[in-house]
Formats: sequence, structure tokens, C-alpha cells
Amino acid sequence: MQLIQKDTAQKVIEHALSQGAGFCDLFIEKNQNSNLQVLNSKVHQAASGVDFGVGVRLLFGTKVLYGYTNQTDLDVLIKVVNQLSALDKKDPEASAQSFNFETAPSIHQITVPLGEEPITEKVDRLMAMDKMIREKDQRLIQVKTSLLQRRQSVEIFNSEGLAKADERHYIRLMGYAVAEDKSQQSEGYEAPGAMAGWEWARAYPIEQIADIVSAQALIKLGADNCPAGKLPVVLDNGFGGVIFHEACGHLLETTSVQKKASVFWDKKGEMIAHSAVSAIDDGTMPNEWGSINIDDEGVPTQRTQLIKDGVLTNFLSDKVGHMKTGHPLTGSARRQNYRFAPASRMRNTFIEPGEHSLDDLVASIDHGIYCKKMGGGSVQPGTGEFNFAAQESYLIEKGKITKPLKSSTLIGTGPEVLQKISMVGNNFSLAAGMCGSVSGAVPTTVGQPALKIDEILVGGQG
Amino acid sequence: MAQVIDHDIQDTINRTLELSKNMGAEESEIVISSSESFSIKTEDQTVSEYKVTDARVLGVRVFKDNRVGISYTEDLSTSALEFTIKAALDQAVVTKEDPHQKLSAEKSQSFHEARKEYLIDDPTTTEEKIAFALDLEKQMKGSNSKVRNCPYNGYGDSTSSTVLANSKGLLSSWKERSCSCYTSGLFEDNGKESMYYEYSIGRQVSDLEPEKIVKEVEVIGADLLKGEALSTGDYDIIFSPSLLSSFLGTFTHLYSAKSALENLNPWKEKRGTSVAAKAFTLRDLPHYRDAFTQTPFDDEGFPVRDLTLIEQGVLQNFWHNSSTANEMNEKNNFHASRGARGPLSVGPHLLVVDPGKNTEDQVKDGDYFEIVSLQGLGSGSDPMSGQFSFGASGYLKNGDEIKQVVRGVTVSGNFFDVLRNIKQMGNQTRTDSQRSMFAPMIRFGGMRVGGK
Repeated sequence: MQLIQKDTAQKVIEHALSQGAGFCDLFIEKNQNSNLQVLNSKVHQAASGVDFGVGVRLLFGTKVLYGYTNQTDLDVLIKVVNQLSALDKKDPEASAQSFNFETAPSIHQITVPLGEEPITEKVDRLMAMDKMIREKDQRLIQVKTSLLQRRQSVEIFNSEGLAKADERHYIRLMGYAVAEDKSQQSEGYEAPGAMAGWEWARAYPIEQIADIVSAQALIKLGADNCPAGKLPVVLDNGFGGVIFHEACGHLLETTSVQKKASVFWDKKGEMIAHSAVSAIDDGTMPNEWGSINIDDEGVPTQRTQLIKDGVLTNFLSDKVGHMKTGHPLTGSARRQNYRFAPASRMRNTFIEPGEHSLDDLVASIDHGIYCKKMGGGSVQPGTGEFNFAAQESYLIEKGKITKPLKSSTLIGTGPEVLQKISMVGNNFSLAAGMCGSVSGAVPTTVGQPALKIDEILVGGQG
Repeated sequence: MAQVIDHDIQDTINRTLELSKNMGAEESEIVISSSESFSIKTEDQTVSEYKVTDARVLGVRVFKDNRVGISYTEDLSTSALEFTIKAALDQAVVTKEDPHQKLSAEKSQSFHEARKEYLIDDPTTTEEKIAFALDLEKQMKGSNSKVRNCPYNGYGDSTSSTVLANSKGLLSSWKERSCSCYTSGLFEDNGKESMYYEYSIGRQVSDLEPEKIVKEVEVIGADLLKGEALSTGDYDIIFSPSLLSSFLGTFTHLYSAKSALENLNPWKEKRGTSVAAKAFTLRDLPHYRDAFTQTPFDDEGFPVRDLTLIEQGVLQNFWHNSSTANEMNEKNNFHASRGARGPLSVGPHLLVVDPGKNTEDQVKDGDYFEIVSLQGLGSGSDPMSGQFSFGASGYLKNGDEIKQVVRGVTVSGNFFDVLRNIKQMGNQTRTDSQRSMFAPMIRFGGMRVGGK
């Protein structure tokens, strides 16, 4: 598929450089989205749409001039360039290289491309999951199942001769249930995803989603208030990785580092975490939700060691981040869509597994909390203060998991909590989520094995 | 009334309605949203990002055989419109029958003259806007010796318009221009750090209040350096106006007829019963005088009207659109909400909490925790159980006396209990930074602070 005439792209870039820009890139994107939802065991909503646009970026030094439009006509794009460069226009300092066309090699195999699957099969899949959840317990008074799909085609051109095309398929299943008992209500939610074709949803064990969603909703009925105060906590695997994502991950993006608005901006080579902690950000993991082939500047993705045995080893850098900080490019430039300039962002970010079993971690705590499933969170990179929600948690008493607890929030600061991760489990897994930042919302996974945090502030009503 | 729809949009509407009819839709509705914007970010007294944008999206809702399908496109070529309409019609086939969703047969609100004050021509040049943003950063950095950095600072403006049209002849449009500026301070003192940010909105640059937001950031950001955790326990809470808006806004599904019909509203059976303290009255007043934006019609094109949601603690009404009203056999109260990309839903216009009987001095009498910054409210809330938990910073006060600056604590509770546990309500109306919600100072009981 050709999204823009190559000749048009070349002329726009040449024009940008003629206005004095040191660099120019174009990001042309077409997204085909669909959202299918079953509620009350009926197809409640079936929606789709096409996003299409061109993002134009000029760099004058490290100053970013960015514009976008829905049109690919040469005169429209030239006008965008003129608007952007009006105040910075100067004699040209660079010349555009000829394009070296490439299609990005796909690390991620797609068998049934999204959009080619029959809608009836999608409906059947969601109905089957709906039925599985409802049959778990009559206290489940409402069930919602959804399927989100996005087929993103991109073309990226720049003044250094890069000309690449890439196609990304994102698919996500979602199960949600509400349980009610004696006027109390609670919810359960699970939403796995992948960079994959329809074959992923076809093969995904939806009974797993049904088990998790129903158990979560039911267990919280009649749950006790979570204690409040500083406590030792075991975070289980998968979405427990949101702690690292918030406490550390964002602080290692040059998006914050370049402004010195990260507490770790000058800590490369230093011990920033407990020696038990090693962490990776990896865009190459086949078909994982946060994976990519090339980033949104056309740079091939990679596996980046962030922390090794507690020592900060690398930051995640995009082009402007590299220009401002000197940290090497890591294929981490990402954006929600053409409406955003790219920025360095996470991909699949996780703490590497250690040696302990989950039982070891729990047994080491006399009075604390076991967080089986975490929700979202946020961070203020400048101070490192972060928060994240515990959706399903239990009390630990004398080394045993006992009663379920109501939802709570855990807060802390990145530098402090990284030093307090004293035990790392061996049951690694990843979980899909959406991460929001300066370049919009992008698919990321968080991950880890179970971790023990010696002490963290837990917000509950108990 | 004057028409404010440009020729290209009108042409697109005509083409789409015609195509839709020819392709088999019995009825159709179109939403076209457009936006042009300009924004700058500054860093270290230079412009770090300069952005100009121009985009539009068209959403179509088609009706056939008692079913509804939706789709959207950002490509407005005829071939793309055909693809979009076909997708919507194909999706309608698998969607459940919905006899309640119908296009408005109400007398068409043909044209609306945009409020002139929402389309003020701003004479400020681009160079002046840049100078404004740079000066804002300079003011912020110079406001206090402890400001190490100003990591988020900028200015932006946009003109956005929405046109709604349907095959029954409805044609309504809305256009407005707005601008904003924001700044932040990263403070450092003796190895401790704190951060705070604020923003200001207006219709033109001269409406913005840079000195005011610099002052707020400087005072609170510097104070937070001294922040310590409170002892764990129960505290009375007073939110700053913007955070009160966030807190009350987290649970707005409780007023949604759509959520009630979907069995996702814990208050679905509670109309006519007490859900809040008797002093609490919540209304939706779309024409509220001081609101930043007063939209004249909802997203089905019906003129909007005032609605009481909670009266003296008793739940009175849900937000309806024509479909939910029809399904519940009730009157529409014109709270349809629909963007170009999404389905028909319901939503607020402008929430206003009636002032109470207490003076603000009375509300502030006795120890309370004034929250000026919070994090994680959305992810820490359970919409069905009402449980919430979030990180917070602010001041432990008694009256206006600051007893302690507070930082690094959590606040937890149950929203349903908290609404019943309102201790006092002030008699002066305050508003948030966006002038999107109006409420008095409210003293809440029943929240647990996790700290030392």
C-alpha cells in the first residue's frame, strides 16, 4: 500500500531544508480500527473507523517544529512547512539525501491479517467468553466482553535518506464483570493483547480471562478494608510490573532526562536499585503487545538493558533525546499517531526473573499485603513520586495469604522503592496496557516475576 | 440566525447523506469535528516545540432494519466515505436490534449563530505568543531561588467546530476558540524535591493570568518541599476547587441512564432515595452564567435545559438521550453525548453544586486536610463498589492556619459513604481552573489517610 507519492515526500523534505531546517521527517499513517462489544449477551456495539494523516517534523537544531494534516497533496504539505518555518527561516544548512526504500523486516509473524477475519467469528468468540463468565456464578450480574483491533500502516521518510514502510497489527480481548451480593457490588477486569493477527484471538484461552474476571469480581465482595500505612508487600507477576514502569521506567526516557526532570538524569553507571534488580526494555519480543519492528522515526527496535544488578546502564532515547543528551538511540521513538511528535517511550518493560518462588516471598512476611493484580498508575518524573492501584489483594499474616482486601493505592518514590525490592521471584510474565505521556497513548507491556518490597505506603481504609 | 458552516463541510454532508441513502441506509446522521491549533513548549528560555495542526474527522451513524451501525473516517474523499458507510451498514447487521435509537424528529434546530464571545479574533501575533510563553517560563524560574527547573511550560490555542446533520433535515453547528497557558516548577532544597503545575484558560491571550498561576505554583511548590506524611488516621478533607471537580467527576456514571440500562450503575434503582447528605444539591446547568462554555444543544441537536440530579441529598434524575429516555419510558432531558468516533451516549453539560449555609470560616473551623495535589484517582477507583484510593499532598490546617505541609500520603474511602458524610458546605461558589464545574467549599468526613 502506498500512502503518499514518493515524489511528494521528497519535495516536501527538500522544501523544508531549503527553509533552513537541519532535519525533516514525514510520518504518514493509516489506521483501521474496530471495536466490537457484547453486553447482556448481545452485540451491543460494533464500530470501526479509519484515521489518516501526515505528521511533518522540522528540526532547527533541537527545536522541534511539528505540524499535521489529513491531506497528502503537495501544496497542502508545503503550506504546513511554510507555516512551521516562518519564524525560523534561514539559509539552508543541509541537503536532502535520496531515499533508500526499505520495508521494515517483520519480527512479528501475522497469519490472519486484521480486517480479513469474518465478523461472525469475532462475535462468536466474544459470545463464548460472555457465556463462560456468566456460568461461573449467579452473583455475576453483568458481563461485558470486547475486542479491539487496530491495523496501522506507516511510511516514514527523512532528510537523511530513510524511507521505510511498516505495518503493525494490534489486537486486544477484554473481559469485564460485575458481581453483586446483598447490595454490595464489585468489578473484575482482564484485557490481554498482542501485536498479532486474528490467529492470536482465535487461539487465546478465553477461559483464562473468564476465570480471572469472575474470581476478581467475586473475591472483592465482602472483602475487608485494606490496612493503611507502611507495610511489606509482595507484588505478583505480570501487571505487578506497573511498579517498575511508573517508579523507574518513565524516569529513564530521555523525554524527561533531557529536561533534567528525572531524578535519574545524571545517574548512569550508578547503583539506583537493590542489587537483586535487573531490568530490560525490549521491543523485539515476538508478537508482544508493546513490541515494534521499527520505531516511529524508522530506527530498528532493540532489546535495551536498563538496569543490571542495581546499576543504571542505559536510557531510552529518540532522535531529539540523543541530540540533547548524547545517549545512544535505542529505537524507542514512539507516538500515539501522526498528531504527535515522537518521543522516547517504553515498549515491553520488565524486571528480569530471579530465583525465589512466590511462596518464598510470602513466607518471608509476618504482616503485609499480597497484591495479586495491579491496576494503572502514574508518576511525576521530576520528583520520582509514583502511585499505582491494587485491584486484587490479600492480607499476609505470619507468612500465609489470608483474607481478601478492598482496592487500595500504593505510593512511593522511584529511588526509594527500587532500593527496597529485596527478593525477586521466578514466575515471570508480561501484561498488556496503554501508557500515556507527551507523545500520546501507546501500547506497552509491563512485566516482572513476583517481587517483595520491604516497605511501601499502602492506602486503605483499615 | 447566521449559518456558520463552511462550504466544504456542507458539500461533504450532502455527499455523505446522498451516498448513505443510495447504499441502503434508511436514515443517517453525520458528525464532523474539525480543529485548527497552534501550540508552543519552552525549555531553558527557548522554544523546544512549535506545533500547528489542522484536522477533521467525520462520523456516521446509519439506521437499517431497526439496527444501528457506526463508523468514522479522517479521509473525506468519496471513496473513503463509501468505505465508511459500508462498514457502518455491515456492522449494523450484527448489532442487536435497537428500536429505541432513532433520529430526532424534533423540529430541526436549523442553524445556530455561534456565540460571538467564543469566536473573538485574537490580535496577538505568533511572535507575541512565543514571547508570552518565554516570559511565563522566565517568571516561573525567577519566582523563587528554589526553582531548579521549569520542565513543562507553554501556550496553546485552537479553534474547534462540530457540525451535526441528519437525513431528517437537522443541521446544527458549533464553533469556539480558546487558548491556554501552563507552567510548572521543579523545586529543590537540600536534596529534597517537589513539583507543582497550574494552567489558565481564556478566549484570547489577554484573558490568561500568567502572574496568578506563577504565584500559585511558587507558593505551593515551595511549601511542598517541607511536606511530611501525616499520622495514619481519619481526617476531614477539603479539596481545592479543581480537585473537587476531579473527585466528583470520577463517579459521574452514577447519573447516567445509559449505565443504568447497561446494569453498570450502582444507583440504577436509587432515584427517589437518599444518596448524599441533605445539604448536597447537584444540578446540571448548561447556561450557567460564569461557565467557560455554554453549549446550546446536545449531541443529538436538542436545545439543552437545566436538570437537577440530586436535591437535598435525594437522587432525582439520570442524564438521558432520546434512546435511553425511550427505553426507560421517560422524557428526554437532552444530555446526548457523541463524538465523531463513538456511539451515542450521555454526559454532563455543566455541573453545579448549590452553595450551603455555612460561612467558609465555619467550614474551615477545626483540623482538616486541604488537598491541593492528587495522583492516581482514576486508576485507584472502583466505579461499582465506590471504593477509591489515591496519593495526595496539601496542608493540615485549622482555619487558615497551616499546621503542617503534607506530602506522601494516601487518601482512601468509599464515595457513597463520603457523600453521606458531608459535614459542612460553604455559602460561596468556587470554580475549577477550567470553569467547568461550580461548587462551594465542602468539608468531607469519612476518609482515611495512610501515612506514618
